[in-house]
Amino acid sequence: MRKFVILLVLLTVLPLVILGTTTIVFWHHEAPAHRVAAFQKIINLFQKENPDIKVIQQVVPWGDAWTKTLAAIEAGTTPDFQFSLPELTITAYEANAIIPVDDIIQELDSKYQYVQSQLAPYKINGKYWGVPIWTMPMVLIYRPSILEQYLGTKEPPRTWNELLLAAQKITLLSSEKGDTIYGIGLTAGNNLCTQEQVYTIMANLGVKFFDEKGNLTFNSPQTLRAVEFYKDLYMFSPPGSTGWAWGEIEMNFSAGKIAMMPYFGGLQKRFYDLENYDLDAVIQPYPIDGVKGNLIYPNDVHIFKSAVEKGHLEAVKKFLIFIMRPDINAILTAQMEPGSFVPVTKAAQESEHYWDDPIIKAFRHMNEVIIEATNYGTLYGFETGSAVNLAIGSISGANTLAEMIQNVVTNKMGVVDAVKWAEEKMESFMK
Amino acid sequence: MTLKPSLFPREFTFKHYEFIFFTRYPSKDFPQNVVNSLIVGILASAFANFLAVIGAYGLSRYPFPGSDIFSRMLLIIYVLPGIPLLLPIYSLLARMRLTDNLIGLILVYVAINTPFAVWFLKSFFQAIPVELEEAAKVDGASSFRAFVSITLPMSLPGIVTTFMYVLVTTWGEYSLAQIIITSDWKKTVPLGLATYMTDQYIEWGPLLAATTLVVVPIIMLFLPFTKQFISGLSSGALKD
Amino acid sequence: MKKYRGLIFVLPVIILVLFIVVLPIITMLNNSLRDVRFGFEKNPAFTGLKNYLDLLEDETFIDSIGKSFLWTAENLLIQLTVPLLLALLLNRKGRFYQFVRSVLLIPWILPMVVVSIVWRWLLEPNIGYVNYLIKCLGLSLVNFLGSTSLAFHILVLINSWHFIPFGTILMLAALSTIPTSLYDAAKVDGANSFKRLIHITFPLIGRIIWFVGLLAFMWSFNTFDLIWLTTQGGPANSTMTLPTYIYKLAFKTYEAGKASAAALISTLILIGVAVIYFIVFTPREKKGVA
Repeated sequence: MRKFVILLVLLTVLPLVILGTTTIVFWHHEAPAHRVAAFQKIINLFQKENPDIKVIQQVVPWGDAWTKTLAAIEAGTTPDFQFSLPELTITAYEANAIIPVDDIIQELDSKYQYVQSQLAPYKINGKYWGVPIWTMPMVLIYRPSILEQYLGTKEPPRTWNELLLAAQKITLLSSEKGDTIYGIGLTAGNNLCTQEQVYTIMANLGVKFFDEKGNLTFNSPQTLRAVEFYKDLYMFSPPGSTGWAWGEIEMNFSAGKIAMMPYFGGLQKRFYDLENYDLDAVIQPYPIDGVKGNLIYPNDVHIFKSAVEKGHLEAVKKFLIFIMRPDINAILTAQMEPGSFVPVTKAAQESEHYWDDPIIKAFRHMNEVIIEATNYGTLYGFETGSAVNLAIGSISGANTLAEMIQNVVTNKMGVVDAVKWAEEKMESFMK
Repeated sequence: MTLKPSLFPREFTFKHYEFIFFTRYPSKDFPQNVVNSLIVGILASAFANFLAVIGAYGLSRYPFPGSDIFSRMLLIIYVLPGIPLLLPIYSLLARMRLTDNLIGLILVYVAINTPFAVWFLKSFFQAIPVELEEAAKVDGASSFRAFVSITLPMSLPGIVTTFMYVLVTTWGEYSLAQIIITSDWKKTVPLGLATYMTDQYIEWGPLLAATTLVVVPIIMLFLPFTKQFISGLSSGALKD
Repeated sequence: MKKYRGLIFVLPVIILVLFIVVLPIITMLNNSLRDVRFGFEKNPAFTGLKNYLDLLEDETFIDSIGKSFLWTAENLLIQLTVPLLLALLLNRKGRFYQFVRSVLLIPWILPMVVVSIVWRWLLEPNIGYVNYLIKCLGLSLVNFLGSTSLAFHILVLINSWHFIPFGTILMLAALSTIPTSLYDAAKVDGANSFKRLIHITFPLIGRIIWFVGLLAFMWSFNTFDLIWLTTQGGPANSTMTLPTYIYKLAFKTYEAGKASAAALISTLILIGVAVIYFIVFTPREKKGVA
């Protein structure tokens, strides 16, 4: 009899429990173990506050993100939302698979105040299609001890001229002593890393890919000058760097083979783990007639139409608002990838939850520079404040900038020809 | 103050093995990856072989006009470029509700590997004289019985060989698995390993530990059959 | 009807292949004739042979065909000779050789994803292990994957390294079938070891060489993982083979129509080469073989 009662109770209660919870699924592309753990942490915190919503994370490594997204869109098997970059969001937008998120942006902006430049890449045809969650600014990171040894000062260079001279001096002096340290770390591999570095140099001259109407304005005196400077600087980058991507350049910098490089601030975690504090940053040097500028990669979340069809939209919104709360956002930024993932709202940037993180604290000056850099940052193709030409997705996907640099550095093509080549290539994607 | 390159370990440690066995994040469940891969590999292999034995037997015992060309065409399936087929294959599986499903993955592996297995096994059956089967039939056995008791045992080395071959090729397959499987607990070994190496981070310790562990189950499956494998390759099909 | 009884046995295979392989190929064929970016637009415009004509004007594509042939040829050369030499070396009895043979298989068992990444790191010019060894020998550093002249051949070597174990096992299997009495007889006749190799070994393992060549060809031509995970076709397109370029078209620049056309051309080339291989190189047919 007792068994029967229990069974009866179970039968009536279980469906209620099952019906009452909404399960939402999201994809992200941050495969390293500690990043996965950080995601799980915010999920657990969220579920504690919202017992009626269950959240599931699924890891799709960056390399597979595009194929999987397209396949899922075609087959109608998309998750409810996914973490993303401007290029991927544009792809999803063009494939007609996501919904506008203006209301969420508005709510978050009034609550926490977005750094306006971070919204630019997600504004397409007057609407927002991605909610920026964190951002990745490039700064000039350097090893103070190497600067002191070869330049006699810990003061980093502030202008292009100073940068070039410093890079040259370090390379030459150290090789005289028989232990070559390269003044600068630049890459010329066929990959996104190269594009990010080149663009940071371009941003110092305010290079714009498109005008406000979306016309191509890439082949300009500024671009030529920036590429020329990249080429000059490259003389003091390790000879093997022509095939590098992020992993190799980070390893070489950590090994003390490189003195300075335009890069993200993420290496501080590795240095912190080894109790090495010989690492600092400065706003990317710019020419005297140039501007403060650097690449910035805002990461967003876009919501798939399938979330609306399944009635998950409210739960998704709740989750997004939740992860932008400064204390939670600090987990996604300071804890997940300190120095590399940076808050995109003023409230989160000023929050003590961010600054109290032990790693952020240990490299406080560096992180102040990085936060400052969010104000000067732009991203290729979105310089005018919104997505004016969607061909930028293909242009970036094809590694056009990286190929241009390879032509200059590896193939010894003239700068004028290489830039012209790149512009023609870009045009071919605009047809 | 410089950090030395940490490409190679300086201390002997089991902590990475510990990590792999006992750290079970949703996306870092290596034992689960191995189990999934074994299930997929063994089932795909078994199923492909089952179909291949039937097909190859038919082709060798009941040749039809054009069956020679047919068996060569089977081989050509094996040379098709896989990349542009990824999306169509995925949408096909989606229509059958088999995406993010190990059965879907097995099905695709079987489809891709069976043609090769048929081609390979066919010559094994051809090498076994029909007379032996005929003799058994004279003694009153059915065709099926004759096949099971005479031909099958004699072609066992060939079957073992194709089995191992399909097992190893599916074991390391990435592109198709990547697009078909999404849930972390359904991921196969290559997908699991891929999460240890992203563009920025190579988690060397766990990666190398896991790689060692990847080799072990296969070697263990392989070793008892090495003899069969080699004799399978040297008899029948490849013997001149 | 009885003539076609054999077909019933292969019916399951045919059905499976029709579903999983032929159907997607038809989709691909259809896409190659239409103006599609992602490959799943509803009612895309029919553009006839435009994608094909575009490809013919695309320098990268034309180059990639040449690269693919060179890639396959280099791979074949290494993957036929090295396994043969190794097999001749290892074709001995004893526990030691048996052990070596088992260990030898390991590279083949490693998933290509791992092989690619691990080699990419070993070959890193400044702190990689290989250059560390080179430096110890007093030589200057080599930029393996970052130079246009080297990267291609280095990738060939890595790809071959992965395949060689399997090729060797196949060759060993064939060698083990040659009765030692044949060699003894030749020795008595005064043939030196080179002559024995040419006159006894080669003819007897001709078929296995043919088979290893076939496998090496099929696998090499379609190599994608390795190239994408190490150089993405760079530096300066020097490793941009057909499969790599097709991937780039399909998933990086979203030209699914063009990618499908390229894939179809690639398929036709492969089938063409395969047919030639079958016709020209198939060892003289014995009773009903292959």
